[in-house]
Amino acid sequence: MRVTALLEAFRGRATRRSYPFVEEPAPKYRGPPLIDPERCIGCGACVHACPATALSLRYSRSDRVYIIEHDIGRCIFCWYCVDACPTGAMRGSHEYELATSERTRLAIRVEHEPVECRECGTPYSTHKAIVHVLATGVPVSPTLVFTCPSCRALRVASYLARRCKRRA
Amino acid sequence: MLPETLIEKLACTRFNNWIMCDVEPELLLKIVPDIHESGRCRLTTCLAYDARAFDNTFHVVYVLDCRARGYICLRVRALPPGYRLPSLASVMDEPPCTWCEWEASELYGIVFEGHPGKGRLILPDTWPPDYHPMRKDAPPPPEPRVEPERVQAPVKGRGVPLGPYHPALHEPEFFELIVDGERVVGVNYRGFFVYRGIEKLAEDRFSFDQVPFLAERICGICGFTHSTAYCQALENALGVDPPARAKYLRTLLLEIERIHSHILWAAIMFHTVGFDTGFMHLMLVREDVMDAAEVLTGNRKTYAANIPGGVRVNPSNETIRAVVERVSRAARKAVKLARSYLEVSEIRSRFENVGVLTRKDAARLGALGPVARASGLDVDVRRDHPYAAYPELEFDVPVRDEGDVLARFLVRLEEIEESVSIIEQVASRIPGGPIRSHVEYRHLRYGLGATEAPRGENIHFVVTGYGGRLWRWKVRAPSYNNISILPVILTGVPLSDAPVVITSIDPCFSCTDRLVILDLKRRKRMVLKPSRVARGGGV
Repeated sequence: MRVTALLEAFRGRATRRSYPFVEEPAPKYRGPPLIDPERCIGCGACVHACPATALSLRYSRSDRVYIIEHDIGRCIFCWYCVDACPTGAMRGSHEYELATSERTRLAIRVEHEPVECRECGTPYSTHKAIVHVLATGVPVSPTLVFTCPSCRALRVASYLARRCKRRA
Repeated sequence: MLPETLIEKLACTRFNNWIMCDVEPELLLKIVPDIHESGRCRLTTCLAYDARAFDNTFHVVYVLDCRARGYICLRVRALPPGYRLPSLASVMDEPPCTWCEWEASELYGIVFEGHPGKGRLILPDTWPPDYHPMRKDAPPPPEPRVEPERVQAPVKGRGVPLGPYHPALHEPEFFELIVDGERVVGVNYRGFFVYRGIEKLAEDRFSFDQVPFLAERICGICGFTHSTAYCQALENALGVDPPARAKYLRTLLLEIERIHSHILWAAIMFHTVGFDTGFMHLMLVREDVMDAAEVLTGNRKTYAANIPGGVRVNPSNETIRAVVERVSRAARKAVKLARSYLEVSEIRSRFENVGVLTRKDAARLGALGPVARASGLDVDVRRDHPYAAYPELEFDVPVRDEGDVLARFLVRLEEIEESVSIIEQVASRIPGGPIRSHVEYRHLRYGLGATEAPRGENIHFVVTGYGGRLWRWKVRAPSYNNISILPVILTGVPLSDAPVVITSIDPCFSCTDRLVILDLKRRKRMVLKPSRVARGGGV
């Protein structure tokens, strides 16, 4: 019995390979998702989808740009953002050699030109996102689309109030 | 009382495969002990949730597993001002609800009158006694204070510490073994050092479709079974039926997970008795199974493959066939290796007649999974409460009567063989079609999801909340029940066998513990000196 155990044990492949000669991961291996800055419109769908809050969208007042940042150090490689992206800018990659001595190398940053509200001047969306919405052919009011959400709400509310008054 | 008459008498709501009944606390105390002891239904767990927003009470739900009749949940209400309830654990002899009532009293502040537990179970001793983190209006937790916890004085004999960090344990858990000479005569247990607050986190900041990504991180080994149980609970609550192909894919991944988990467990058993050669060989074979999981899902731990309503990966039938062939080969080899090692008398003698759990004790204490099946208790969620594609597949449930560590070993090896047959059936029968159904979220629905994890019955309970968030998500991992029976099976074993017995139930401490105690434990516990506990050879 001991002999069988030994024989069984020694049959098989090598246990260890030195670094560059390692096996590649499976063809469908999920690596970190990367952002294509050309396609990205800065809509923030990926930010909402991300369970690990690896993605963030913020407005930088000093540089006057919207910044989408992907922190691969936090990423769990689930590719939920890839599913959420409306333009296919979020692409899953096959990368697996991610070790680095600098944390900044694990961050992807995409900058977007902001759109400022026509009424109050606060930035509320990215230029490309507005262009994308207009290009989809969804019926939007051409005036309201260039106002920020709060001004938009105010306008709609005052319009409704006027109508109610007229009816009364 | 028969479960049928019970259901007729009470106000019950029928769900797909389970029933929820409202009971008065007095009646609960009268009927549950009889039902549990008669063996018609097994009390498996209980859970609480904050319902003060709806009817100003806390709800406590006792889950009974009634085999073919499905799960029966008995719900009692803890009324204000004191939120007091009579304790079910106080009227039964060490029932499986001791821990969960204790947990509810700490996390929600429900007072269980007559509960046998003394001190804290989950929260650190240094936290204020009136702080209950799972309440919906709980403020942020207090700053942790680093302070040694009190050590319970041994009643008689000498106390030998085993843990929280010990080379023979793989996760932080503290056993104080009280020994008389070389024999363990009593056990003090302190766990939950890695309670991470996953349930609270999910309720507060995750939307319902993101929770599977958190659920699979409950356990580092059997993650897929947790995400499946969660998805099933939610699908059950919302009345969604995943497509057939998704069910088959879930079954396939669940069984692959069972195979690699059991191989890992067998390897660790050999490691525990000092046979590291066996450990290395089995881990090498297991690597093939992990690679196969990576081919199917893109991740060796099958992460991010589940979603409420179906699955997110759709490998081609050829890939599935190739993977199944590879896994079967590896699994058969692992079983052959383990069996041949068990023939070696020195190894076999470490397992035979060690840590015996009798059938009666297994039933009384609520043992689950392979531990229960090695003690002659024929329970398996896959057969008793079929889910995923299991109703359409043929498989046996291996059961043994010896109840010792060797029986637990053999039951698991037989289970690997059954799993191989299951995945082969999946590969030949898997239907085509879509892999995901549409899920429409509604608030205040109840759902129960149960899966047979590699370690036993895994229960997830979901109450859906507002704005796409969960109101309550309760996870009861199988080790929760199995660890609480450890003090019973450890009593009477020689000290040198204690690590073997602890490892034999395949304890998953991180599944059982769910909050964080930051750095609290690392600086306390001066008792962590090289102890006299024998650990086999090369550990």
